[in-house]
Amino acid sequence: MTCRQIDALLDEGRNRPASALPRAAADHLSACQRCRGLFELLEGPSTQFSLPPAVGAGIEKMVLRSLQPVSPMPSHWVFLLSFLGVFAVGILLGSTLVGAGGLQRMAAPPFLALSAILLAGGVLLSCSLSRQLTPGARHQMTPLLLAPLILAAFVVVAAVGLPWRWSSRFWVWGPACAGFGLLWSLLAALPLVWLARRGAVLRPAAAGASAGLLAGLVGAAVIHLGCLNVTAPHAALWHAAVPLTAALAGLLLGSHSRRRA
Amino acid sequence: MLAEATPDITRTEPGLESLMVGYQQADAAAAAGLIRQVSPKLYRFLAGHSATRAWADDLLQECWLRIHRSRHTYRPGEPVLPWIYAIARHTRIDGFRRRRRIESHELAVERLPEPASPSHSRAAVPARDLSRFIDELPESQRDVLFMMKVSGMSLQEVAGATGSTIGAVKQKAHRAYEKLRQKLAETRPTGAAR
Repeated sequence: MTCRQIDALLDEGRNRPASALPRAAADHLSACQRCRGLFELLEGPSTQFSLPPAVGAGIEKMVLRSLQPVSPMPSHWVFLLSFLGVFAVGILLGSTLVGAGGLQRMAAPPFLALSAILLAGGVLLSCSLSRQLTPGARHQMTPLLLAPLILAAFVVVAAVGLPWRWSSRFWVWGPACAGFGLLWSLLAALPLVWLARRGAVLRPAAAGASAGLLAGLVGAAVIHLGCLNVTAPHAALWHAAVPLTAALAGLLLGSHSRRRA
Repeated sequence: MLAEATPDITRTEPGLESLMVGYQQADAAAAAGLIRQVSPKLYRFLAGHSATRAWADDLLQECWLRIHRSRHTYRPGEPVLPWIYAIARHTRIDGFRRRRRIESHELAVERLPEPASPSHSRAAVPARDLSRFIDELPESQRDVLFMMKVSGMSLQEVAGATGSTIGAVKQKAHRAYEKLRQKLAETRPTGAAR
């Protein structure tokens, strides 16, 4: 057995008696002074820490004075399904309103690739946001990494997959398209904020950015389906601006709520 | 000879869970029980890098205030310790930022602060006490090792409390083991037998 394998044993838990160790580990510990010292230190009896009695009493008094029953938040599955529901219904209603002209104009590969990014982004963000509502919930991917990844993937695929044609109406169509996307994002953000209002106590700014980005993806998906301008500069700038702006707005809102708290 | 293991009271998860559920239902005895059971280790966790004992006291109170305000976010059936330590970590980070802000505005102090909590406890514990060695590690490694080896949390629970992945927790733990090996070698009396 090697020192690294002893490390792996130490990962498994604490207060493991020496007698419970595998034979190979016990042999290694008796031969390797470095590992023996570490094992004794980490698996030895833990110190009982003392708390100043006045501090403990003060905390008890503070807590008991304002003790009221609270209803625990629902399971994260409830939040996950709710966020996915808002995402799906938002896109469905939006595309009903603006139609699916982009679907007919865009070539199948970039359309499918962009749709996959929007869909995957929506699902991943819903998962992440539902976990951010509870302190101590495990994350498969840190929310601060997820948001830039989704945005970057969208911009790259739009820039690579769509034709590079400059239109004379670039500055006219663009803001109108992004404006509609942002308006739709705002509508999607309202139920998201309402759903997330009781959670996200630890990182409201990150949760705000995630909720904003999720709402922004709804807006981006609606204009992705409906927009007749299927050129790379338009999609990479104006369509991508929708989730980016929504995420920044969510970030600011979250930071503001944190400062107020 | 290896040290004898002692049971760790905060590992009685079902006990903590039922206390937490009672706390959510406004059961005063459960709330008091939870505070008494968790506070000593939480205090030690928060006091690690605190400048003074008074600051550590404030941090603990602030931490319980946050726990109290966010108690509805605990979901019955889930482990309590990752939930509590996630709040404690953020309390400590915010406290550190606040302290830095205050210190940057204070150019002079009338007298030196009271000795820090870690050195206070150092005098009372054996020379090879784990907490003393842990305090000398970088903060992220210290947190991981404290949760795993003092509070007895699993890798998954530590990953939850620190908002990272199990792989990242393992990496930090292994780096900490290596540093501790070096520190132990430095403190070992000369001529110690292999």
